[in-house]
Amino acid sequence: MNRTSPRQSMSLWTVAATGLMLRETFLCGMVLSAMFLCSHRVEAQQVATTTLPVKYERNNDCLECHSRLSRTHDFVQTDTGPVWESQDKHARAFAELQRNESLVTRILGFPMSEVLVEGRVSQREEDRERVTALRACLSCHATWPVNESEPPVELSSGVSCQACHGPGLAWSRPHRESWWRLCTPDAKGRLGFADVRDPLARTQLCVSCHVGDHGQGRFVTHAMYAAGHPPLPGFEYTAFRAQMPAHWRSLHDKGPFAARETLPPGFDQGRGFRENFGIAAADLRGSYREANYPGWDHEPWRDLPNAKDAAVASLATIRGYARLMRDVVDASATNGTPADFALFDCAACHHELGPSLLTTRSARAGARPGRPSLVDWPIAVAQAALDATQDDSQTVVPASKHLLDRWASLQAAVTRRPFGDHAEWMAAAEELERWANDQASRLARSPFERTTAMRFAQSLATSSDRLLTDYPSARQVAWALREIARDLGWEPVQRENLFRRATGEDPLIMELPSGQNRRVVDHLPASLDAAAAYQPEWMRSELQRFREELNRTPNP
Amino acid sequence: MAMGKRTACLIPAWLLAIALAGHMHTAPVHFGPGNAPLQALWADEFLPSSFLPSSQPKQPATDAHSLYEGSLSCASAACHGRIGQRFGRFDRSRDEWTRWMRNDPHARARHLLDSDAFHALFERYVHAASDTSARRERSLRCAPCHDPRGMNGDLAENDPNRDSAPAEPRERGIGCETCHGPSRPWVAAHVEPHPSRANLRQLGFIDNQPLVERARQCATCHVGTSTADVDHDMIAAGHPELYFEFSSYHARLPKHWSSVDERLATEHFELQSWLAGQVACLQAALELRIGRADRARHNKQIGWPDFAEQSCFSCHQRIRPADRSPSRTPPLRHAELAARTWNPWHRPIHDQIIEYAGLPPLDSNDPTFWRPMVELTPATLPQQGETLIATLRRAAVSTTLVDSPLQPRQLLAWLRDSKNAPSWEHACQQVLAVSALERSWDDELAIAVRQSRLSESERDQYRDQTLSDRRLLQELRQALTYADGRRFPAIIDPLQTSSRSPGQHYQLSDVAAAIRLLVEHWESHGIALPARPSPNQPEPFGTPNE
Repeated sequence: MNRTSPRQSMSLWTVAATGLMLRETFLCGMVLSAMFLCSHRVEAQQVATTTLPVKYERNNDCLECHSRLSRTHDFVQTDTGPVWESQDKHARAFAELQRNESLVTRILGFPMSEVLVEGRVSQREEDRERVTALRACLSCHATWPVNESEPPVELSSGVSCQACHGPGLAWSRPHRESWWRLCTPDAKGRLGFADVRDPLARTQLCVSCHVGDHGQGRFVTHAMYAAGHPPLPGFEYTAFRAQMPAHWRSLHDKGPFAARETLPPGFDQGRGFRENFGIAAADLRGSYREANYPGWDHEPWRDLPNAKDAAVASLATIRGYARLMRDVVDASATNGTPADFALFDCAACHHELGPSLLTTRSARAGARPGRPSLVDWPIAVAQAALDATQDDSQTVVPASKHLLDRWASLQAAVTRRPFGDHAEWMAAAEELERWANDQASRLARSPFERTTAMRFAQSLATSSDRLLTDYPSARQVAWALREIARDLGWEPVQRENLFRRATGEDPLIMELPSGQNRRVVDHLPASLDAAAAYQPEWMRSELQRFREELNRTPNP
Repeated sequence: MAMGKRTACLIPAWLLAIALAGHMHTAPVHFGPGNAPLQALWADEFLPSSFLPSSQPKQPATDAHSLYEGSLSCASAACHGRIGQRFGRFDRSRDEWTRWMRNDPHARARHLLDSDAFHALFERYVHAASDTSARRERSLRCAPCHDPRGMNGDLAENDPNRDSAPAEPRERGIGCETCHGPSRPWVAAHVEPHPSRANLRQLGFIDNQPLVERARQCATCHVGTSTADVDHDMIAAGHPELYFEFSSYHARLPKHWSSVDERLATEHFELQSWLAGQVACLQAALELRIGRADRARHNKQIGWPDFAEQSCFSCHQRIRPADRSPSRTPPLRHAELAARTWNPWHRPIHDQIIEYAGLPPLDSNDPTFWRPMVELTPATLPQQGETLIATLRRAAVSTTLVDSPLQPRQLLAWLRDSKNAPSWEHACQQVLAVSALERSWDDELAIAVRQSRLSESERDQYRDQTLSDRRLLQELRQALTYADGRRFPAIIDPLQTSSRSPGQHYQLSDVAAAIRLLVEHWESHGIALPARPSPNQPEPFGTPNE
C-alpha cells in the first residue's frame, strides 16, 4: 500500500477516525460510525447490542477497495471489482430489466417505470400491490432480501456484492483486518458475513435464484414464463462459475498458505477494536485452516476444485430443488390451487404432438404418461458424484441408488394423481432435502484427489441411456466433464473440443450467454432450437470419445 | 330414458327445474319450489327424453341388467336381421342388424379391446401396475364406451391379472340397445302394427329420429359424460383424442337405416345435421365439464382441471421465443390461464346459433363470461355452467322447432361474420361447417335432378362452378391434418414443418382468408338453385344403396 489515491486516503481517514472514536466511548462510536459508514441511508436504530446491525452498505463502498487492477496479496482479493463490474452479468441484472422493458411489462402487466421513483422503488400507498408484483422480479434481479422493506442497495447495482456476501455494514470494517481470516465462519456470520468459501453455502446462494427459493420470494412462476421470461437453464455450478467469469480463486489456486497467516503467539491484534464488533478471542483460531476446516484429515487446498464443486453443488442443487418443491406445494395447498407448473419438467408438456410421441416419451423415469413430472437434470451429475466418492467397502449397493430411490418416491408423489398428492409430496420432498443436505455436507469434507476426479469423470461418462435421452441432463454431464477435465490437466484445446462438432459447432449450447455484452433473450432461439434438435445417439458417441481420451489420461 | 325411471329421474329433476325456471318468461306455467320430482314427471311427457341431460351413464347399474335383451334378440330374419334382397313393399328394409353387423365400426368396438394395440395402451394407462384393484378400476373406465354390457369391470379375457372368470354377458361391445335403449320394456310394444313413438319413449326407447337426439346419443361417448369420459391419462397412453363433429362423422358412418329417406324429406339435411351436432355437442361438453368439476370436488384423488378439457396446443407446443410463436393459439389474455384455456372446439359459433334459435343472447362477449369455465378451482363452475346448459337446452328445442330449416345463406353469413379463426380448433370447425355445406349442396343437386328441377348438364355446370372451391376445401382439410391425411379432424401439430414439405407453413390467418374466399364464392354462385317443392311429400327413392 505505497501509493493511495485521494479517494482511498479519504476512506482510510474515515476508517482511522472511526476506529479512534470507537475507542473513546462505545455508544458514541456506534452512532458516529453509522453516520460515516452509512451516511446515505440513516435509519432510526436502537443501539442496544454490542454489534452494528446487520445492514447494507453502498455497493461503491465495496468497490472502492476491491477495484485495484492488480492483486496485492495472495489472500486479499482486491481486483474483484473490475471483473464483476465489467464482465459479470450479475452486475447488469437490473439493467437488463430496463433494457427489456416491453418483456418486463408483459410479465408484470404494467410498465416497471410506473413504480420507480428516481431509480428507487415507490413507497406510495397506491403502488403497494404493484410493488409487490415487481418485488417478485427484484428479489433476483436486484439486492432485495425478504426482510427489507425496500431494496437496501441501489437497484442499478443489480445482484450486488452484498447480495451474495451478506449485508456489509457490520463486517465491512473488521474484514479489512488481518485477524479476520482467523475468525470462525460462525463468528463472521453473526455480523452478516456469508461463508462463501463453504461450497454448500455458496451453491445454496446461487441456487436460490438459479433454481429458486420460495421462502426468499425467488421463484419464476409459470405465469412469468408464459409471459416471456426465458426458461431457467439447468444449473451446473462449475460451468456457470467458469463462464461467469468467477471473480474469485479457488482454495486450490491460492495454494497452501500454512504458516503465512498464523499470528505470533500471545499477539492479539486490535483486541479492543475487535471486541467492539462482538468478536471475542474465543472466535479466533490459530490459522485460517483451523478456523475454517477444523478437524479435516486432509489439506483443503489439495482438493481438485472443479470435481469437488461439481459434486457438492450437484447435491446442493438437489437440496434446493427439493426445498422449492416442498415450499411451493405447501403454499399452493394453503391456497387450494394446483402446484405451480413451473415446478415440473417443461418438456413433460411442451412438446409437439405426433404419432411418434408414445415411444419417445415413455422413456421418462417413473413418470406417469399424461401427468406433469419432475425434471431429470438435477440428478445427472449427482448420481455420478455419489458413485465416485463411494467408500469401496460398501460397493454392494451403488451410492446413487439412495438418490434414485428418493427421486423416484418424489416422482411417484408428484404423479400419483394429477398435480400430485400434497401430503405425500411434502414428505418425499422433505426427505430428499434432508438427505441431499447431509450428502452435500459429507462431500464438502471429503477429499477430492486425482483418483476421485478420474472416477467421477468415468462415472459421468457412463451415464445411463435413459438419462441421456433428456437434453438438459446431457448438458449437465457435458458441462461437468468439461470442467473436471481442467482438474485432470487437459489442454485447453482438448477441453474446448469436448462435445463440439468438428466444425466447431456447439450442439448442446454449452456456452452460456454470459458476460455483459450478450443477452439471454438473443440467445434464446439458438438454445431452444438446440434442445429440440438434440440427438442422444450423438451424445453417446461423444461420451465414448471422452472415455477413450480419459483412458489415455495419466492416472498416478 | 335409457334406464329405469327410478335411476333416471333423480338427477335430471333439478337440472330440469333449472332449465324450466330459466324458461319462465315464456312458459305459461309457474312452478313453485319444492315440486321438483313432479315437474320432472310432467316435463317428461312434454319433452322427448332427449331434452333431459345426457349425462346418464352408459354403464347401467347391476339391477338394470335385466332390462337388456342383447342384440341377437333383434337379429331374427323376420325382424331386423334379414339377409339379401327385400321382397314386397315394406315400410322398412328389415336388414338393419345385418347392415350394422357388416359395416358399422361400432359393431367391432369390443374386438378392439382384444387387440395388441389396446393391451399396450392399457399397460401404459395403468402405468404397469400389477395391483388387481387398480387395474380393475382403470378397466372400468374403458368399459362404459367400449363394452358397456359385457365388461363389468373385468379386463379382456386374456389378461393374466384377471382375478376371476367374468360372468357370461348377454352382449359384448356396442349393441343395438346401447343407442336405442334397453329393450325389455318396449320390445313387445314396438312390434305392434303402428307403434307410437311417444309411447315407446315412455317405455325407455331412445328415439334417435330427431337429429339433436341422435347427436346427443353419439356425444355420450364421442364427447363423453362424467361417468364415461376420455381423460388425459388415456390420451397420453395413446387413446385418440375426441374431436367430434357430428355431421361429418354421421355422413361417414355406414348407415343401418334408410338415410336416403331422411335426406329426401329434409331440405339441406346435412346442414340440419351440422346444426343439431353443434347444439348437442356443446351441451354435452358443458355437462362433461361440470360433471368433472363435481367429481373433482368430491374426490380429491381426481385432478382438476383434467387436461383433456384444455386445448391440446395450449400446452403441447415447443417452447419458442414470443416473436417466433405461430398464431396457432390466441395471444395470452391472462397469463395465469395460459395453460388452462378450455378447449374452444365445441363452441365455434354458439352465439349465432342461440340467436338463430330466437333466444336472448348469451353474454359471451363479456370476457368474464367463460371465466368460470376456466377457473382453477371447480367450486364456482356449476352455477354458471347450468345457466348456459339451460339456454342450450332451450336452443335445442327451438332449433328443431323453427319452421324453416337452416339455409346455406345463414351458415355462410355466420362464417362470413366470424372473425379470423383464433385457434386451430376454430379453423377446423369452420372447415367442417363448409364441408357440411358442400355435402348438403351435393344432396340438393341430386334431388333437384331427381325431381326434374335441374337437368344433368345444369347440375354439371353447378359442379364445375364450385370445382376450384372444392379443391381449396380439400387443401384446407389437408392443411389442418396430418400430412398423410390419415384422419380428420385429427389432433396434430398443424404447423409442424417436419411432417410436411419444407417451407410449407400454414398460418391460421391463411386458413381464415381461404374460408372467406370460399364463403364469397358460395354466396355468389351457389344460392340460385331452384327451390324445392313442399318437403312434406318425399319421393321414395327406390332401394337404398348404401
